[in-house]
Amino acid sequence: MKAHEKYEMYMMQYAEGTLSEAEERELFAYLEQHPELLSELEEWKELRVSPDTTIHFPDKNMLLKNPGAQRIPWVRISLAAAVLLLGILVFPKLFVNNDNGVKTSIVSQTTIQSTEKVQTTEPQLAQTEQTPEKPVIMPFQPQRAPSKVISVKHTQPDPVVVVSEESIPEIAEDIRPLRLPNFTLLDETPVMAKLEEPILPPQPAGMVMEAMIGEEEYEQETESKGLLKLLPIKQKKLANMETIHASLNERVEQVKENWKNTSWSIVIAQRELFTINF
Amino acid sequence: MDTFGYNACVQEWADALFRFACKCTGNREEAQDIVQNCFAILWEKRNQVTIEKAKAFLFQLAYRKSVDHFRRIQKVRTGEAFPDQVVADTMPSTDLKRILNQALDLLDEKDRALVLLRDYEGYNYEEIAQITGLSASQVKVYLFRARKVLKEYLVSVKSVL
Repeated sequence: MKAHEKYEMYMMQYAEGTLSEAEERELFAYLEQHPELLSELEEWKELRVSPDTTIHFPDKNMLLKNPGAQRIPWVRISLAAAVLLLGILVFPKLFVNNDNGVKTSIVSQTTIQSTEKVQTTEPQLAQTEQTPEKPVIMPFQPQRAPSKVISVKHTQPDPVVVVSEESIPEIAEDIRPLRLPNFTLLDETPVMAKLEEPILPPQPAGMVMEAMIGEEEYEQETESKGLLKLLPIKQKKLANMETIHASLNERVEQVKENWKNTSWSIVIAQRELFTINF
Repeated sequence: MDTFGYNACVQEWADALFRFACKCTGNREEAQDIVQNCFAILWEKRNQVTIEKAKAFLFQLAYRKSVDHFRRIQKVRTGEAFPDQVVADTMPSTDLKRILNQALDLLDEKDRALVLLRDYEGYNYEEIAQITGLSASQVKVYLFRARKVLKEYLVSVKSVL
């Protein structure tokens, strides 16, 4: 590069403000020797192009996006919901603690049957390890359990409804079926269902078939009482039904109470996916 | 970058990008298309582009599209003089700003873009190098070459006046 070209470059950089101090000293030393170049330096300073600020993009709103139109991650939401639903449907016994006491358990979903086996053969071990603070770790816990559900109880248990153990079959406590108090029918006669009979079209006078129940008192009852009385169940049987209904309600309340303050952790391949707190 | 960040970029940089594209292409409609395309790409890649890098990303896109447009048009106009260039030669203006804007049309697409990025947006040599894909020393040399053309044009206009 010739000397003049070099100092032209320096002059441009000086006009742009990018010249270093050493280069600047060198430039002005050269300009002292060549004062005719000072006017050229002024010309370099004039070469800054400024934008025309009157030019605007015509339709800026066309470029803007609606913040509410962001994509909802439906795939992730549906996947999580599917996993949860699958867990509840396929392994409902893992989620519902049928023993009314405080039960902390770690159960492998792949070994439900072996859980039953161990609990039946070693009942003492299972009982001694049932504490609210510590989770029960089964001795047969498989080495490579791919997934597990952890249910942790945080509060004290509700009073346990004691039912005679004779009527309960020997199965694992975690999957013990619903217990109902024993009751007996007040009337030994079988329940008669009117709706089991075919409903025939109206027949001419004289050919009307008599109802299977046939008693006048039943017709009087249906006329005088509500819809419940339309059911072909004798009043005497209703007492038993109410007993069943009351016991079911009680059981549902117990299950609800057990679910309160309980957290479920879904763990697959030793990774906790999510925790549900009730 | 979320939607709000993207919208902030539109508000902040759409006009500057449009001016840059207008000056690079010399065509308002083409510049509008370029700006729309640039923001469409930014929206598609908003998860990979941070708001701090959005401006450089937009100008990089606009630079490439402007250069492509310029080359495409140049093929069509082979052997023809640009109308703007004719205007610049025959209608010298006393307004320095206008003269320089006319002189910009004498530059090729790359040199013009370098001058615009430097003067319009205030990018330094390294930033211009990132946008254009050149090295910083190349940017300095190309800028010097472009400024020299502008200076010669300015001197010639002044001598006529």
